[in-house]
Amino acid sequence: MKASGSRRLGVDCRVSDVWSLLYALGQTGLAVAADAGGMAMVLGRTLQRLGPPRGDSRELVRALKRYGEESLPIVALTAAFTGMIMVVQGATYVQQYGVYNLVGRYTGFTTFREVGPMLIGLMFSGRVGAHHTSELATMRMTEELDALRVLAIDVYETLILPRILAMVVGMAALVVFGDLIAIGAGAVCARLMLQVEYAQFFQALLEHLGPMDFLIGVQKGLAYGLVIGVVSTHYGLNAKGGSAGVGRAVNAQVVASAVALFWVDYLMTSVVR
Amino acid sequence: MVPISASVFFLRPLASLGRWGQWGGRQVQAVLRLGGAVLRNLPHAEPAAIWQQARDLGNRSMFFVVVVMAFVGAIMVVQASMQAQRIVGDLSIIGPGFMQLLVREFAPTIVALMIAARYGAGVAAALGAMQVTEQVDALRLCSAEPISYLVVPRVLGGLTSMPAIVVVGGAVAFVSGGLAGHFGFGIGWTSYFRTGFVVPSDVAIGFCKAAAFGVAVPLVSSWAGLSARGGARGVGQATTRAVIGSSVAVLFLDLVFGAAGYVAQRW
Repeated sequence: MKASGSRRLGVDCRVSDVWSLLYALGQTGLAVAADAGGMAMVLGRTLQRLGPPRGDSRELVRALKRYGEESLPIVALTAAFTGMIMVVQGATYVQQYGVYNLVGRYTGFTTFREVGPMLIGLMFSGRVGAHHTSELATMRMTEELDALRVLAIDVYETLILPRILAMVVGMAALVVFGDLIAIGAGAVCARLMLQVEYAQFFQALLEHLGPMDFLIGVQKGLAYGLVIGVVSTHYGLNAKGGSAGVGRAVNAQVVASAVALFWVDYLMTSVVR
Repeated sequence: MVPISASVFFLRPLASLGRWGQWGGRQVQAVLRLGGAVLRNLPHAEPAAIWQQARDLGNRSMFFVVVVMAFVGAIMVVQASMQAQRIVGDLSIIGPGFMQLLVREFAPTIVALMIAARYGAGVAAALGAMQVTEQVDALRLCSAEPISYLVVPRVLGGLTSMPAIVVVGGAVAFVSGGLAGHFGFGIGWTSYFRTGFVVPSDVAIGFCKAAAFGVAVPLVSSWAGLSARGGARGVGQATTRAVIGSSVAVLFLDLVFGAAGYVAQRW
C-alpha cells in the first residue's frame, strides 16, 4: 500500500498503517494455522506407523546414540549452570530470612519441575531439532525424498518414526541425567556460597520432595521430546528455496520449538496439573 | 599396563572430558579474539547499520518474545501460587516477589535465550552463507574490514535493543502472570500489581545482564557464522553452533552476574 496518498489519522498514524497492521496480523494468523496443521499431520502420520510398529530399528539405535548420547556434554553443562543459577538466585532471600535449611528444597523443586526440563529442552531443540530439520530440508532440496518415494520407501518408517522415538526417549533420559548433575552442581554452589553442608542440602531435598516432583520433570521430558520431534520434522519436510531455505527452515524450527515448549509447559503446569 | 576395566570405566571418560575441555577452551578463545577485534573496530561503526541490526534483533522478535513471555509469566505464577497455597496460604506477596525475580533474573535470561534462538540463528545463517560463498573474502579484497562491516553493527545493535526488549518481555510476563493469578487463584489486582520489593540494585543487576547478553548473543552468533566451512551443510552446523553457543554464554553470564550481585549486596 502506498503511504503517500493515505489519510493521516493521529499524531503519526496513517490509514495505511492500520491496514498494513491488520494485513500483517492476518498473514501471521494464516501462517500459524498452516504450521499447526502441518505439525498435526506429521504427528498423525507418525502415530499411524506405530500400530503395528513399522520402523527401522537400526536407525533407531543410531539416532539414540547421535541424539541422546552425543548431546550429553552440552546437557551436562547446561544442567550444571541451571543448578548453580537456582542457588545463586535464592541466595539473597536465604540470607535475608536465614532459611539455610530450605536451599536444597527450593533448588530441587524448581530444577526438577520447571527449569531443568525447560532449559534442557531448549538446548535439545537447538542441537538435535536443528540437526534433524537441516538434514530433512537438505534431503528435500536435493530431491532425495522424492527419490525415496519413487523407490516406494516410506520416509516415515525409515527416518522419521525412529528419530522421533529416539528424541522422546533421549530427552527423558537427558532430563534424568541433567537433574542429577544440576543437583550436584547446586549442592557444591550452596556449600561454597552459603556454607550449607552437603548433608543439610540433601536432607532438605529428600524430606520435602517426593518421587512425583522428579517424575513430573521426566514426564515433561517425554512430552518435550515429542514436541521437538514433530516440530523439527514439519519444518524439515516443508523447507523451500535452495540452500538458503535450509537456514530459514532451521531458524523457523528453533523459534517454533521454543513457543511450542512453553505452550506445552503451560498446559502441563496449569491445565492438566 | 592398566587393567581393562579401569581403562573403560575411568580413563576413557576422563579422556573425553579432557577433549571436551580443550575443545571448549579453543571456542571460547576464538570468541574472545573476535570480541577484541570488535573493540578495535568500534570507531568505524555506521549508525545506520547499527539501527538496522537493533531493529532486526528487537522489533522483529517482538511477536515471538511476547508470546513466549506470556506463557512464562502464567507458568511461574501458577507454580508459585500452588506452592504458596500449600506452605503459607498467603498469596499477597506473589506479585511483588515475582516482579523482583523477573527484574533480577527471568526477564533478561529467558528473553536472551529466545533472542539467541531467533536472532542468533539468523545471524549465523546469514554470515555463514556469506562465508561459504566467499563474500567475506570478497569484502576483504575490497579492503572493507569484514568485522567492522558485519560484526560491529550487530554487537552494538544488540547492546542497544536487548535492554529494550527485555523490558517489554518482563512487562508482558508480569501482566500475564497477574491474569493467571487473578483468574486461577483469586489474587486481587491491587495486591498483585505492586513493585515495592524491587530495589535499585535489582534494576541495576537486570540491566547489566540485559546489556551483557545483548553483546554476547550477536558476538557468539557472528563467530559461529564466520567460522562456517564447507557449503550448505556448514551453514546448518553454524546455526546450531550459534544457538547452543549463545545460550551457554547467556547462562554463564547469568551465573557470573548473579554471583557478583550477591557478593556486591553483601558488602
